[in-house]
Amino acid sequence: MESTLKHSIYQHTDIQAADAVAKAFIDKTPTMVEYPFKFPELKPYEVRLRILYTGLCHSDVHTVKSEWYPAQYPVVPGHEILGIITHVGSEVQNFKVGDRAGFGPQRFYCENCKACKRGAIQLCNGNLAPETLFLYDPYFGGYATQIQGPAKACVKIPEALPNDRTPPLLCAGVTVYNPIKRYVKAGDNVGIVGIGGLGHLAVKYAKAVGAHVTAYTSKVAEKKDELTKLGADEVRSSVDLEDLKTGAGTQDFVLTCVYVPGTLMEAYVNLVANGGTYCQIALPGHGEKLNLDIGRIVMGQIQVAGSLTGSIKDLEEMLEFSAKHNILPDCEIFEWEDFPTAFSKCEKGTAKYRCVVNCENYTKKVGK
Amino acid sequence: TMVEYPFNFPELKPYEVRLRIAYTGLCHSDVHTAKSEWWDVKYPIVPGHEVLGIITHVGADVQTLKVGDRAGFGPIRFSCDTCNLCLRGNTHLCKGNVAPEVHYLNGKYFGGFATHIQAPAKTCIKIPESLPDDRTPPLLCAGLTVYSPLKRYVKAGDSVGVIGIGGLGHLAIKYAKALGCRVTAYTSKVAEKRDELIKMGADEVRSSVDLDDLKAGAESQNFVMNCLYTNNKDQMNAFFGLTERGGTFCQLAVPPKGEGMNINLSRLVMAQIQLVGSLSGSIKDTEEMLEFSAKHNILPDCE
Repeated sequence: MESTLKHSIYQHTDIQAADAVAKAFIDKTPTMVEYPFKFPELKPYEVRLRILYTGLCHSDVHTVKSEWYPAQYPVVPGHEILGIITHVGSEVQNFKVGDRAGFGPQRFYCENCKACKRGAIQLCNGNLAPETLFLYDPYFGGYATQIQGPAKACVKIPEALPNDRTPPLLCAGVTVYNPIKRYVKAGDNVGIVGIGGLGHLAVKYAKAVGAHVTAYTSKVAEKKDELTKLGADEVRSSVDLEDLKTGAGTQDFVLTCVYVPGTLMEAYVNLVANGGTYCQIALPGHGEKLNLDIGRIVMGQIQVAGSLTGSIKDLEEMLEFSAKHNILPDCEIFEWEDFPTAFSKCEKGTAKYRCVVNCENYTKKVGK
Repeated sequence: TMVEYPFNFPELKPYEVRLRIAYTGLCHSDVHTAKSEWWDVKYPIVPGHEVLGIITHVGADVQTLKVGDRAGFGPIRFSCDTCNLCLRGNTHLCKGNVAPEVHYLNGKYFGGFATHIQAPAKTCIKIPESLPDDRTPPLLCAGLTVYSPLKRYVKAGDSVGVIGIGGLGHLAIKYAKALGCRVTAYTSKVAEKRDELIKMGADEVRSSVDLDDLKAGAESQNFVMNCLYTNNKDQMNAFFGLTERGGTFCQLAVPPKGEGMNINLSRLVMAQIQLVGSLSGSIKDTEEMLEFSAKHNILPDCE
């Protein structure tokens, strides 16, 4: 047991001596434990946040269960973080102690590679060692009372946004906002496939930019009213192949927030009208292929695209837009002690629609 | 089987013009069509959609063209102008019901393999004065087909890969250079064609068939324009792999009906790549392409 608690960067210690407490996963069951630890010395380009609220994302589940790659245990996931700055490195200019700020999925970027130079820092493929592109593994992420990370990946939170419901915007929000911003115009017919954490926000953003929104869900009868209340103009089935075929060519933009193997994915691509775009954001397990009818892609001038989170600039823009249009995720808020329940809901995909943990109460209780 | 076919036109419709054809271009699509490779053709068929000539007859409702004008037709014959696509300017993607008209020049109506053509004035394009009779026709299809996506996706300074240097590809090199890009030409015959392609404007010439060399060039192009179709899946994947993060892979060559391509979905998402098709262009795109070609002196190399 001792060996899976030892970490290369953070010192596992008792709660009195600890700088912070995390919820760490020590194996791929996954087994969650309380993990008090000390941070390494603050780097000149880093800040430390005392976390108020932290969001849970399904990517966390994939990571801690080693579904995408073998995780380095103990691993502390979490990349939807809102808190108050408590420490500022000597070279940091854009944040000060007391600022309300947050982290999304990104931890670092090189600023020199082609992708960075074009502003798409989330696509950075420069050599970042000893830093990493993403927030956690091996560094500790947001399932904790504090986080320490590079200031250039940290984002200020607009005043109008609340503490408790803002964290999921930092990953789910930007992940759907970005492609909607890139591809959707007012008056477009937009199809959102899969109405979970990502999809429900996509419905809200697409409505706010003036689109006509169809929500595709696996449970039409059950969820019709709820999705209509969210803003969907129409609710259709995401699993009935016959119904999907009758909807072929009806959407100018399709955003797919689920991954399902096989012919259903092809049916989603066929929803796209001539001149339209299909965008995939939900990540499959490794190596899954999508079969494309190239004749249709060419003759219909269709775009098939992927999208991956966003840059810091995109985050800032998304937060402003969300504040302006009063767009917030529908969240289930849990106390720190109920972290396992929150994680289980996230794992099973049963949250309405995102799980967020209140770290503030616990942090005060343990005096961190 | 090709035969000589003298014929009478039906009565000129009020919205039509007739051209006496000076020069007519041949496109590989004509071959696919005539051989019923894309759909079952009703013979006799007269293909050809790269047509340049002089207007000899003008329908009663036609205002934009007059007898004696030098004009041309590309692949598009008609558009409804009221469907969603037409309203967005994508008249070449029109899905409206246009019967008894048709969207494309080939097929039901006679195309450009002829001495004269009679077709709707709204898809007839005036030819800029400085462009020559003999080398302009292929611009109306091939030129448009490569210019349109380049205009849509590239900026000066981008790295552009053009795969397959034939009728489409060689024009793509010229346009991409004129747009300020760094151009790599991918060809099946590197040694043989290197000098010729460099002279055409390519900055680099690489193999389109050597899988190892294609893999070595992975993520090197911001915009990849594939003017080939191959059913070799490893090769198509290697082409797709040339696209850098945040870049676009554009497929132009239309494959035989029903052929698919398997792409790595994780890569599409994690590298934020766009895989797009492009199909000729609108009349407005054609006019813009002709102006650009005249300005930059871009003409196809013709026999």
